[in-house]
Amino acid sequence: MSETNTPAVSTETETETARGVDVSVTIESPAAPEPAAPAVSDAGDLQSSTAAWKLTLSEFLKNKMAVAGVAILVFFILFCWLGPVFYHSNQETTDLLNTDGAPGAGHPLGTDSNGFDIIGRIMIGGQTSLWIGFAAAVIATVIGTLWGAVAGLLGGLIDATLMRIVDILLSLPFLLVVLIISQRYGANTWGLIIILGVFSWLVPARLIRGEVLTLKVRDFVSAARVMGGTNTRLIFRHLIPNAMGTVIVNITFQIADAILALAALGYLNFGVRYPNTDWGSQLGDAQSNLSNGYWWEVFPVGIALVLVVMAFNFIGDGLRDAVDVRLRKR
Amino acid sequence: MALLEVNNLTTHIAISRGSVQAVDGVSFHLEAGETLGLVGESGCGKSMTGLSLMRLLPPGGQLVGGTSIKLDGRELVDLAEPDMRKIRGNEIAMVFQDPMSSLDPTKTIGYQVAEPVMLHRGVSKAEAMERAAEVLGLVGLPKPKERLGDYPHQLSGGLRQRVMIAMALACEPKVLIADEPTTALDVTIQAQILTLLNDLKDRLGMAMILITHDMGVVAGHADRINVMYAGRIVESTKTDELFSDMRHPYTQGLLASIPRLAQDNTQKLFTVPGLPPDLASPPTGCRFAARCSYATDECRTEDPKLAGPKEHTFACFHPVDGPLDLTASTIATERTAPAVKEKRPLLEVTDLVKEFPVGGNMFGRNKAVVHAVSGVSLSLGYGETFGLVGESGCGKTTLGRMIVGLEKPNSGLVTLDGTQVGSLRGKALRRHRRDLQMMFQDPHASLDPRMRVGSILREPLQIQGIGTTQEQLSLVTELLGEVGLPKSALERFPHEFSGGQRQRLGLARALTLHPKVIVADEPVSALDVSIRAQVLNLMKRLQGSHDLSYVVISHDLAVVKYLADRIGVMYLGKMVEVGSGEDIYQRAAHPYTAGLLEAIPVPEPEVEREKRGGGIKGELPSPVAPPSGCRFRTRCPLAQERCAEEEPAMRLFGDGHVAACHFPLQTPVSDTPVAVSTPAGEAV
Repeated sequence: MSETNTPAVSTETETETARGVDVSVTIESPAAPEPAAPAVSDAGDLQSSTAAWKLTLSEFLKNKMAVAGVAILVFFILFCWLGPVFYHSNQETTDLLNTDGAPGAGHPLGTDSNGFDIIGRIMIGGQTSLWIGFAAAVIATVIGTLWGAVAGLLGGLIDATLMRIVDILLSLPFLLVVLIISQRYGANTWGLIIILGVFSWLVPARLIRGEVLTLKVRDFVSAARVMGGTNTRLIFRHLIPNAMGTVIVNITFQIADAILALAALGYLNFGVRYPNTDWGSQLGDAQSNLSNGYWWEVFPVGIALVLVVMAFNFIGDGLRDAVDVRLRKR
Repeated sequence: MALLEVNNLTTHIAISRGSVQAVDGVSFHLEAGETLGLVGESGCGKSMTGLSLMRLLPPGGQLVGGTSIKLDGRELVDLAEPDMRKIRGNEIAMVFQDPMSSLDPTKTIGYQVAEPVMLHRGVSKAEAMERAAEVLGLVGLPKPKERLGDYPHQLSGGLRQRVMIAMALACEPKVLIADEPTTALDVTIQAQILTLLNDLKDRLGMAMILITHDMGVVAGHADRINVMYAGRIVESTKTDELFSDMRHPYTQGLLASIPRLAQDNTQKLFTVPGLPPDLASPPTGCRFAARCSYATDECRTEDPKLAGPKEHTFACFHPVDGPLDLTASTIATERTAPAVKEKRPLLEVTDLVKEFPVGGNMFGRNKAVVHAVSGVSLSLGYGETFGLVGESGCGKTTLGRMIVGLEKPNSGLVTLDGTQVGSLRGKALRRHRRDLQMMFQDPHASLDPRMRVGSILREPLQIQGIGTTQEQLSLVTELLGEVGLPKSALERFPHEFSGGQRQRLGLARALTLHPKVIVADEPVSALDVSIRAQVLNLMKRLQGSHDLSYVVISHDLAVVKYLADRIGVMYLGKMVEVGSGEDIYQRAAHPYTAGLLEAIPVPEPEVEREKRGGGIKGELPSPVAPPSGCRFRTRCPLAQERCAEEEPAMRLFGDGHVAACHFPLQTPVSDTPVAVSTPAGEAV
């Protein structure tokens, strides 16, 4: 701050003098000493204040649950992607001699019904689940944000049409539609990403539309219109950046939802196909063995799934509060 | 013994980066039946003082040791919370600023007024309701018994504020704290509410603390005034003495920087430079020293104490003697008279109409429309400033938005430099927008919070595709200098600027495209008095150097009169009078203009006291169903039957002075109706 203060004053004085405007005022007053020009410039000094993102960050870090969420998430990301580098296990060929093996030497958490090592299986299943969840959430949020922003900004008949489409799609049973489509097109990672993404943008669309409705009447949007800014510019330069807080918070919840939806698909045997796997498929494979007492096939992957989804929800809650605080303190 | 004795009141509010010393050692007393004015700019701690007296502090706020608040000799600081609750609303009551948010929308007004009576008097609901009806009648609510069951949304802003006052008075408090009671209201309603408060105070024998930023409001309604600056009282004395013989330089500067109706508008306004200090880290010594022209080293190191004779205390080492002699000391701006270069008008607005549908459904069966603007015409010459005044809801903002093309008129034409704006589409329209720019009211909403100042100022150039990045940057830097901000501002975000600085940025942004006309919608109404004068001076100076014409929209006639060459007065979607500043101020022909002038509080105690009880009666009718004939007739003291039957036409009252009234206060030059008002110096 201090380094900007000094030039602030001098710049002002220079421009004032250059323009030939006398800023000081002669005052005749017997009681007072000769008045000098006050120490500050006419407009006043610039005051520095904490950057918005710093406030958000410090508020987020105060939230213990959110920080725990980040820690859990970082752990699982490292576990799933870096894990296979250090922990080698055969995940390509079935080992029919070693099926449903109990935890023991060589297989700390045992093997599944195909003889794959459970830990290694959770690692590659986690890669798929996290990646599909993330990518699907991004696709859903991008579609939803654009849809909502266009509807909110243009308003009128376009808004009514776009939002009625959302209403109609929301009234379809999500899982049923996704099941039918994934039956035909699913079974690989990208297929599932697109199916999940394309069917979960409805909630973000509503959310962003609401946000845009309040933003578009603000003066800075009017100012951009007066300059001749196009609707595209309004959406991308002004509306979406200002709705970004909502968008980011939404993404985290969206990821959690997508991971759960994928787990449901996998459990119903509509997940990715062998030799790939995801956490839902693993649970689905294991469920028939639960009655046999093969707990290691169910609990480790189930716990991993619960922890990751919980972590995303904690992070989302923390972010939402932190974004709110930034808005309040601004 | 005084009724309320406050000693060394100190309030700190904890925030993330430390604590704000919102009120710092404030001492005053209040006698029974007295009105004490507490004036100061935003952030000076006046509202926090009021809240501290009630011990209603925001989260993180606390009264610091040494504070003493004695009501009738009883110490309030040490009271337990349940005992304090018996004081609040019963012995000390408060009226808040915003009548919209201070009433519970889900409860009837009868219940809300009766609630404190039930709480404090322990009476039955029926008795409390009876009392509610009585108090509502007292505050001037028509037919109070029948309206007990009304909900707040059924009442207008002025009536809601009356209900708020009734709530505060229901238990006959000894002290009434009115915190900016009229700031959210229109000027005609403000006059009514202030008169009401004053009458009630006399009738009920209460003492009142009137907290406001408006020197005009305290001038007519306070017996004594405390001037606050940066959490402290800097001067305290009787009202007349404060206005005629102030001692503190801040009081002097504050009063000198208010634009006056009687002022010659070629003079530059006096300004108090700079900004109030940040109370989280207040400066040592006198807190006003940095902005004071008399400050010496002593002021910067030592703290002046509130001293002087008992009736007139002030905290200053170098006190001044009475008001600034503005006639001799102010420097005229470079711009003396409107530089009318060409005879033809630059901007012409012809019969603009805008109606907004209310209610209705998606099949287009709208039942009602709001008649926001109903056939308004005006014209603006080169280098001229046209001022639009009127109360909220008169359509002045809608008119401004139609001129810059933010709203499409239902009918009527906007012609700029011979081009009809409504006929333009696509590229031609975008090109045209360069000539018409806008300055907005709310400095917090008009700059995109996510963009740096550099991008904000360059955006118009980018949209219009003018210049390379380098050229844009150098133009933007030059403009920053012109509005008095350093180059380092380019890298910053809007929230790092104060309101006045943001308004400067808004003006700089409007100037980047070298527009011919800038429509300024309430450019200074969100700013403090001392900052307001800075921005007004700047607007005037830049008009000269950039060959600008302004359309200035404001509810504040003094602001408009200072900036404008000609003024148009609007009422309920109609232009009722157009004339030069002097025409409007000295020779108002329309009764509404005269009433508006009467209602504006001026910072002169004698004038203010004389006008008590005058002004326009009643409230603005609904623009959904405006009155037939002359729209002002429902509130007009001169209205006759003819006003309801026949809409008055614009008649000429002098050179460029027209008004639409059947029974004008001046004699018209001719009875022939005039179509469009023309620029100054061009009588039809």
